[in-house]
Amino acid sequence: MKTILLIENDLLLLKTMEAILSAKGYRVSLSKDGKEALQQVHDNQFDLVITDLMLPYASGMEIIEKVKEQQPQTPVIIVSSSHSEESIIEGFHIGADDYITKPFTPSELLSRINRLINR
Amino acid sequence: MKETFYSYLVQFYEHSVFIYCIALFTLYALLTGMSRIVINRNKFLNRFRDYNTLLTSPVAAGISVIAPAYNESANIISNVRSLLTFNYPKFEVIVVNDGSTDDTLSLLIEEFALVQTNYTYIPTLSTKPVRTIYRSSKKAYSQLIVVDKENGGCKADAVNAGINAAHHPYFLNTDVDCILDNDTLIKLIQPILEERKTVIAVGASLRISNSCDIDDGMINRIRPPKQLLASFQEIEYTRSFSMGKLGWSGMNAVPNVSGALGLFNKRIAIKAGGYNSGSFAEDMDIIVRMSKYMCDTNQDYAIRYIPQTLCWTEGPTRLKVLVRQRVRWARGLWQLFASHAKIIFNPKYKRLGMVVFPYNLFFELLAPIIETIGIIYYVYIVVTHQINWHFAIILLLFVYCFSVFITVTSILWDQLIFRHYRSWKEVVALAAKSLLEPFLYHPLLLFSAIKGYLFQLFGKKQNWGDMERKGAAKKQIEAEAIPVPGPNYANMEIPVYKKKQIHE
Amino acid sequence: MTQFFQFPLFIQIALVVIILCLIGLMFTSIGMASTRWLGYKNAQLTEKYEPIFLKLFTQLVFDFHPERTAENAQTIALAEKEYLQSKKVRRLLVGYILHYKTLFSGSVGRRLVSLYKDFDLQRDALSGLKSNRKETLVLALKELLDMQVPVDPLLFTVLKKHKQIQVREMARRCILTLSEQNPFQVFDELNEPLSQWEQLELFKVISEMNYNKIPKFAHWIHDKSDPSLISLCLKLTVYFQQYDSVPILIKMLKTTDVTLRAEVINALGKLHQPECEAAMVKLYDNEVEAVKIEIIKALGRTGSGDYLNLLKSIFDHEPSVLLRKHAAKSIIKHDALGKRVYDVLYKQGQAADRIILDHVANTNIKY
Repeated sequence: MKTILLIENDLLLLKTMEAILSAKGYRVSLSKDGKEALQQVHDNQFDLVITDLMLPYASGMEIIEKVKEQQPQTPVIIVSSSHSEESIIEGFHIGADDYITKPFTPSELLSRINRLINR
Repeated sequence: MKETFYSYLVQFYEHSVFIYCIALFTLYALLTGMSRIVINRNKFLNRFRDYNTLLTSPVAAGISVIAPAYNESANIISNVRSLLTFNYPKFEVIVVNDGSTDDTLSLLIEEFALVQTNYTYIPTLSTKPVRTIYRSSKKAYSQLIVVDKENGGCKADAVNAGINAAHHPYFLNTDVDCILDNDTLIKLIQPILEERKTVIAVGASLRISNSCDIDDGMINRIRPPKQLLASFQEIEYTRSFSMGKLGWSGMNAVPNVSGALGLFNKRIAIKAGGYNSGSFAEDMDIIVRMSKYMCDTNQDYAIRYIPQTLCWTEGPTRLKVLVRQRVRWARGLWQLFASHAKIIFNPKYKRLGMVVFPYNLFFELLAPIIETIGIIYYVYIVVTHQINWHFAIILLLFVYCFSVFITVTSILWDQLIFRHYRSWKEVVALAAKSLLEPFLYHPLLLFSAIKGYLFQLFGKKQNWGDMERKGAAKKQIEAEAIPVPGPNYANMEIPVYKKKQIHE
Repeated sequence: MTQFFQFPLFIQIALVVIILCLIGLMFTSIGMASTRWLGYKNAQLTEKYEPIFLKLFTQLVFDFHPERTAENAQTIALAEKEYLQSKKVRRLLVGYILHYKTLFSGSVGRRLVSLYKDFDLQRDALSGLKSNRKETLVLALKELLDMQVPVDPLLFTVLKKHKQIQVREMARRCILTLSEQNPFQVFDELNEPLSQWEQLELFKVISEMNYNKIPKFAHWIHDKSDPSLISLCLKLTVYFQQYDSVPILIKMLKTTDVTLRAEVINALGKLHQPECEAAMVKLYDNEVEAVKIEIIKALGRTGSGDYLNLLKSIFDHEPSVLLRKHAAKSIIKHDALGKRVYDVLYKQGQAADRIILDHVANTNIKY
């Protein structure tokens, strides 16, 4: 069973995405802020990380850097409300494998997850 | 004849003090009503405005967050981290290391992978020399700038250095030992975006963090302070912000934006000369000078407060430290009037001259003096058996009841905005302490104010002292002072060029 | 009571104030208790209904199967019968739907809108349109707009002249979003300044519009328009890269409003059309620093190379460090052409010059 780390401070989105991903057969670990996320990344291996950018304690960018340092093979998808070209470019520059802007369709996210997790 | 004159004098004095009280109480009642209007308006705007629009906007105005730090090794890392994670699309964080003698700088360097960087520092406002500017080698911390400078002896100097290094049109002035809400920037910018006139400064409520559950610079659970002295400060801040400042904001007559949290228009702050290093109340001083500048240049402006509590600061728990703080504030207020006397009742300065300054003069500056004279008079008439005890008790009750009523109402107003405290018992306990405040805390403030005025009058040197932040325990790194190779801004001479007509 | 009137006036006043304070304290305490109680009840309501709503959303939105008509209809009927009779619960559900709409788009977004209509949740907002309270009216309009519920367009005609500014703002936003014929009539009819917030919100609405509806924003960029409208139109011109607006923007350089002039130059730069360079450079010598900065930045963005010498001259001779920094940055933006000039400046420069040049060349520093 593939494991996904989901990092999001919007608790409703966190719960909903957990339900959607679990229904598709993924094992999901949740983090509601940057501190929990950094700890999770430090302690566990994941098949995929999905992260927001604006988080308490540590930003999504910092988390992506940490993931790429400690688990370079683990793909990262950014899910963020920021549509700015700058954010998107910075996200890819720092090592993210994909970038989805909110609002998004769960099916689109699922197909991107599928593509990255099974490559 | 002599007796008649004496009795008229006494009557005149007693009636004047009573009228003074009525005027003050009427003003407080007006502020209470006005603050309720401001709270309602703010609640409506928060529901009406979609903050997501601002969060995702490519044309949002940038904000520079300036946080001076002096010997803050206990909290520096966790608090800088929290500054770096604001919910806002465009901001930078400028930490000004104001000549710290502990390992504040080395902790920052290690944690954020800082390297000395050639950076165009423009000394528009004069400060103590800047030694080096650091930026992170990691992209994740690309918003962070650390300005290392010689100690300026006060916060004002450090903030000015931060303003010099700032890029964006607005700056947030805060203390690095304060804990700020993640939505601070997005909430504070709201009045600036909402109004059709220039908003030169915005403030928000501050509270005491002493008994809150804090974890690495984030507040997990808000609690009112358990320690009595800190509790009284919490009550005082609640009353001052939820009632006072909001009420003034509704009348566009805000007397001060707190130095622990304020968003300012950078261009206007620079035009006003930046922060004054010689002032004991640099936060009030800059507001006055910015307002003066706007009046002098005939520009319509506003200073606003929003009701949300966005900043938590550690309140002094020792009497000595609290008194030192309040003596400094009293001296600052005295200084302000001494340096800006021309503003009082000057119609050129509109609300600043006709409302803010007269209020500050009669009901802030003179209040401790009037009260002290009142206490002396009270003791005198008791000792000389001239006192009418029934009337005296009624008058004492009059002042006491009003004080408690205003305080409890402020706590209610605060509950309308945020249910900060999870338990109703915490609210009741805080409200109950307002019954003790007039007896235990208020005399302390009175004493500090009089002491401050006397110190200022006799020119005694102010000891800024150590605010004794306990902070959350963090790792202590034994580090030696790091030598400073590379560009030394302190010794840099900026070459002056002759201005030539620029042709193609 | 007679004794009261025998007291001196100030004692009478003091006694009245004491009684008023005690009454006030009583009301304040009741107010605090009721605020806490309401908060507690709302928290309980949320705790009770959140799992129910999440199940509802899973079945009817996230895991929606259109062929399960009977099952879906039964769920809807049950929800209406069991808990949606209560306005509080309906409002709570609407809150969740609105929150989800900010998170999800596409088929999920459409399902959320259908769910809103299936449950007839718009009834509260529709009755809110009749309210005299501006707060109720505005929030009702906002909800109906977000949930794409059609509203009589005549209502906006009335509301755009409402005495409350937020109502007028909302009416403008509704007309822009919903009007098929002429959404930009709001710009033609605008007779008051737009706040920066409203500009942000209109910018968002317009940037998400169907491209066929997008007009030439230069139409409103002239001296007779309100500066706030011009500012918004400049940003939109840049966003939609309407290059053919450049001649009109060049004409606007004659405006006496310094702030506006700076914004026009900023927009010209971001349109990347070298034909505007000459007009901007002509202004340079007589401008204030803020406008000079925009001219220098624009030259970097247009990047024709025709004014590299000017930029070099600014770096060499301007006393203002800020202007020199921007000149150096604009030189670098000329890529290969600029690199040669940059190298010369670096070689010839003193220590302070090199600090500026290192700063602008450092890609880790944004500004």
